[in-house]
Amino acid sequence: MTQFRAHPILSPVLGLEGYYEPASTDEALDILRQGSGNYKPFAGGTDVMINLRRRTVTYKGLVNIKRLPGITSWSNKAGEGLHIGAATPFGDLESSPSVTQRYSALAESIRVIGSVQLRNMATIGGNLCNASPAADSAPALIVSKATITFTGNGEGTRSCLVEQFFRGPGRSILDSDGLLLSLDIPEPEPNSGDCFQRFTPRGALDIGIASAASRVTLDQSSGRVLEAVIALGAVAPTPVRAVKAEEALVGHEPTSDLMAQAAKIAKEECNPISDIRGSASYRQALVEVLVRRTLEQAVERAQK
Amino acid sequence: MEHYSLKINGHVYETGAEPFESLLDVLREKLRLTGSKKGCDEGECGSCTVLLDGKPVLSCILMVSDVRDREVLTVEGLPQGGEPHPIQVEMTERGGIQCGYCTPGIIMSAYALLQENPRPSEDEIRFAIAGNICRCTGYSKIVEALQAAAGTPIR
Repeated sequence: MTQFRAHPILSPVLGLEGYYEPASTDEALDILRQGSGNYKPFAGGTDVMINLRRRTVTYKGLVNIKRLPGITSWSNKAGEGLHIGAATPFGDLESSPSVTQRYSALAESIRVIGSVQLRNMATIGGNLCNASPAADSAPALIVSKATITFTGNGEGTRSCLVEQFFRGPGRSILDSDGLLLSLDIPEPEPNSGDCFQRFTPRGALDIGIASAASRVTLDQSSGRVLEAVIALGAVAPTPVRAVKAEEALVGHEPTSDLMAQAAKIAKEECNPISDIRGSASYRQALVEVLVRRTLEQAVERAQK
Repeated sequence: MEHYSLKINGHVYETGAEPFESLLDVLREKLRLTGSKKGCDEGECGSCTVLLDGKPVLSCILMVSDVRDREVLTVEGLPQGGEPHPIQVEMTERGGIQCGYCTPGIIMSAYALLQENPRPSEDEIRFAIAGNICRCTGYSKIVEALQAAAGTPIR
């Protein structure tokens, strides 16, 4: 194996026995399988390092995936959209006009993650694989109809919508030997607009109490809603769609009244828990406000 | 077992570090570059901020195996010819420092900002240092110091 590095003596503080830097996907999958569930893929490390130190998780080995070909880079092709390697740091996307000018919801979700320093380390694939119900990028990626490409799980390489990726808090469809490789975000359709907002007590370095992303596509001649996609964060075991609220919008003129009505439906549709960050009823109240605001902003952008 | 040589402030150091030591521990304990501070040690407070290939990162949760073949700049690398950097001067003279613990991190975040955007607005300054927590100053004096360092009007 090329570029295979194993360190027999590793930091006893972290409880690790092995550290690997595979140079190919096949090699990475071999190593993960050898670890039989005890090895963890490692990218930005902003969650893994902290969890290891706090001893909230134990892994026998870490598989640093950042040397896999193309996994830390991204591209923007006209007609195709964004192709993003799973270990691309958020900071690389945040600073690019090709993201901020056309992918508003995604750009808005990236800007609120952690801090400047954290975003230069934390990766977009890591945010999804960590599978937090509050993952900031998830609602924006869902309404952007982003797909992910992954491998392992005992099968070959395949793709699915980001929406289908989550299974529960901290759980995704990936097994312990699964590997997220890349994301693809299609170019926004004409006459469409999107927006992401979240609510936190602090302006930075905080976890959202609730978040929402909305995307609206309008019919060019009538101005009516052709399609609406609404995704919510931190109000269910996984990021979720507000399907009934979406249905209430389709075929109608996007008036303020209609958007307020859709926001009320989204509020009733979600079923959050109460925890240290907020009560269930507070989260529902936030959902109504966030859905209304993101819909209004999305429609305004679609009409431009 | 591999020992890592790291390029820090233009010098190459043989660290004898293990791959999973944090860059911050290696800087402070092995190399005695104690300018970078350990506050929370879990990536929240920003006092350990250093630049990696010109971008601010959190050295407390950055493992040294991700630093090899790259360039690190710490607060010790800012002075030129024995003279402190203008950001250091303004922070000192305009009350941007009280206890001083967050200061090296603030200075590195500000340095990274001014490299990319030499005349930032107040909002841009506040956005750039949002990852640096200061318990003493209330941030106003820090923002004023950074505006002075950038040569932009102080409100």
